[in-house]
Amino acid sequence: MRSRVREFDSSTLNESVQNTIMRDLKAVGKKFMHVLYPRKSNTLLRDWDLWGPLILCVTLALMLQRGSVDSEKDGGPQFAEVFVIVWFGAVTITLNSKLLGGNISFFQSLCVLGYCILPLTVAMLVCRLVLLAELGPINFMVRLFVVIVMFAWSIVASTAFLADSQPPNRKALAVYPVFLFYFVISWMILTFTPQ
Amino acid sequence: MAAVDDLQFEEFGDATTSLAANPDATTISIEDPGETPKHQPGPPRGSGREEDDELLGNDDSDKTELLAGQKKSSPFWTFEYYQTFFDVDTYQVFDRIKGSLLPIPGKNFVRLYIRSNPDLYGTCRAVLILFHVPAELRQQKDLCDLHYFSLATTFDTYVTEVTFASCILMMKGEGDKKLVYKSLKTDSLFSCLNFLVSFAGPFWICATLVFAIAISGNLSNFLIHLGEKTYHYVPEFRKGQTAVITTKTDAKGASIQHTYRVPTACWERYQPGSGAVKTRKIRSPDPVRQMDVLGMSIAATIIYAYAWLVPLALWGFLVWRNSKVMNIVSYSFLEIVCVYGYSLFIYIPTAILWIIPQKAVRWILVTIALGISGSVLAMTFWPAVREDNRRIALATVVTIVLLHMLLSVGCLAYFFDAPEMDHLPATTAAPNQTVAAAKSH
Repeated sequence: MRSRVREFDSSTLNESVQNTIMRDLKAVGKKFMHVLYPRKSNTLLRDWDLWGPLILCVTLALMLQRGSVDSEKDGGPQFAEVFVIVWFGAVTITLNSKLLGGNISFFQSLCVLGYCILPLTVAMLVCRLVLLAELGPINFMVRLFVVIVMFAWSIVASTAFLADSQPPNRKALAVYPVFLFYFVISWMILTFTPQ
Repeated sequence: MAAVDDLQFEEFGDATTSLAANPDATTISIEDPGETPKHQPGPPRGSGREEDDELLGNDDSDKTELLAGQKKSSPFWTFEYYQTFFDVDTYQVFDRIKGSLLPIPGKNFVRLYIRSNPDLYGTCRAVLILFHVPAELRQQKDLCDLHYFSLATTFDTYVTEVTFASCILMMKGEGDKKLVYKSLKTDSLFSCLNFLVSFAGPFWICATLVFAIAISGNLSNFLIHLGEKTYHYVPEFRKGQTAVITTKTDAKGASIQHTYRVPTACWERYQPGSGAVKTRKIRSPDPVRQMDVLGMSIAATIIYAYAWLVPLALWGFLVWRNSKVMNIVSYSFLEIVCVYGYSLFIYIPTAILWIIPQKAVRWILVTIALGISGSVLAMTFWPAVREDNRRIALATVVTIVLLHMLLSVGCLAYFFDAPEMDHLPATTAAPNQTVAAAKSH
């Protein structure tokens, strides 16, 4: 009797911490796979979560900040600035698409936009590795190529998920801000130089 | 529907005969969908307008009823209220952008494009144009069902180009106003009013402009300082505080700039060339500098302030003049914001082309952009002020164009370095000056 009662209530309170974390991590990982291989599926929209975007944003902001104190007026973005740009950009795009009449919910849209930063985070990792080598025009061209490819990947992934939620005569109006958002992030990644 | 049309044509005859003796100019403009129609500034003035007043008086209650019943009436704290500001389609935005790029004299940008469905996605200026769409054309998906237009004595023929056949017959004189109002009363499509002002276009045009200016400034500064070597020296002080000294040398090896940033407490003690300097050379050969977030924030503030505060001032000014002098057209605040936003579109390709580090090219671009957008603005606002005192009208238009020029020249001066820095003689700045400059950082 008691065990049956326990089966009916929400069982996640009693499971071990490891189970909880692994379940969430698996969900996040599954969504990463969906972003890397964008197909028209509803997984990102159906069970949205904001863990993935948070992990990605923090990683990106950590890698992009300048650590040294000899920053001049041509300084690059700090951690807080990257964070703010990413999250406020995502919120603005979400508001825009909802105001244009899209039938996607607020957090679903945030989830999709956040997860589609994954290719750009990969680009940032690659750029940092490439920057360990000698600086020069070849170095820059390699980084430029990587960033462009990942930028295109992000756009394709996010439009695969977001475009269906808009009425057809407003698709371009809803997709352009996404383009601008990822362009700004790609620009931040491309212009990153370590001091 | 045929009955309604017949009714309209009958009234057409009545209207023309009754108003044949009334040559005065009449203006009706419905400014804001949120306001009731009683706020029309035009008709109550003048002696020859009792008929109109009567008519409007009769119609007002009906219209208010219809308006209240079928228009969006969400209070401003609901989401739906703001959704109405984004009710615009892609092709409409593109049309308006095209309209802002090609100022054609004689065509009022607002009337031709925006009043049919004012939107702020691209910030077009929307002059509310209302014209009645015949029944058979209402079936077409891409036409707004019902539009208002402000009747003016100087009604141009460009309206005929907007392709509504029955409107061509209608929009020809005083009788039209009565006709329109009668038909509005009886027309069931009154509910399809969508002279909605939309914020989407202007907002994203301004955002794109901010990023275009910041990124182009970045790239152009790289091109200008190409060939210079930048060395960063990091001296260490006894207090453990660090400072930054930058010396730029041009291609010939002569040093052209010294920048010192030292803690204010010990700048008197710092001497260039003193033994406490530890040097570390860093040269960054990338074609782009790091994204300058502060500069981008400043650009964003300037451009968004311009896109909202100047229309506010202009609207206030027009309202004030409107209360003194009867104007033919009065624009609502959101319409003005719309127009200003779309008029800023020309600066996006201009900002990208400003990368070219030639002064002559930059100033030619400024002139062209200012010419196009300034003329669009001037032609849009001219009907609003031309009934006014000549001097005031001219002053208004000149001020509008002047502010526009100030914006473009200011952005050019602030974000883009002058392209002739390598002609400066080699100078070693005195520590006072540079530290004073550094103190302000």
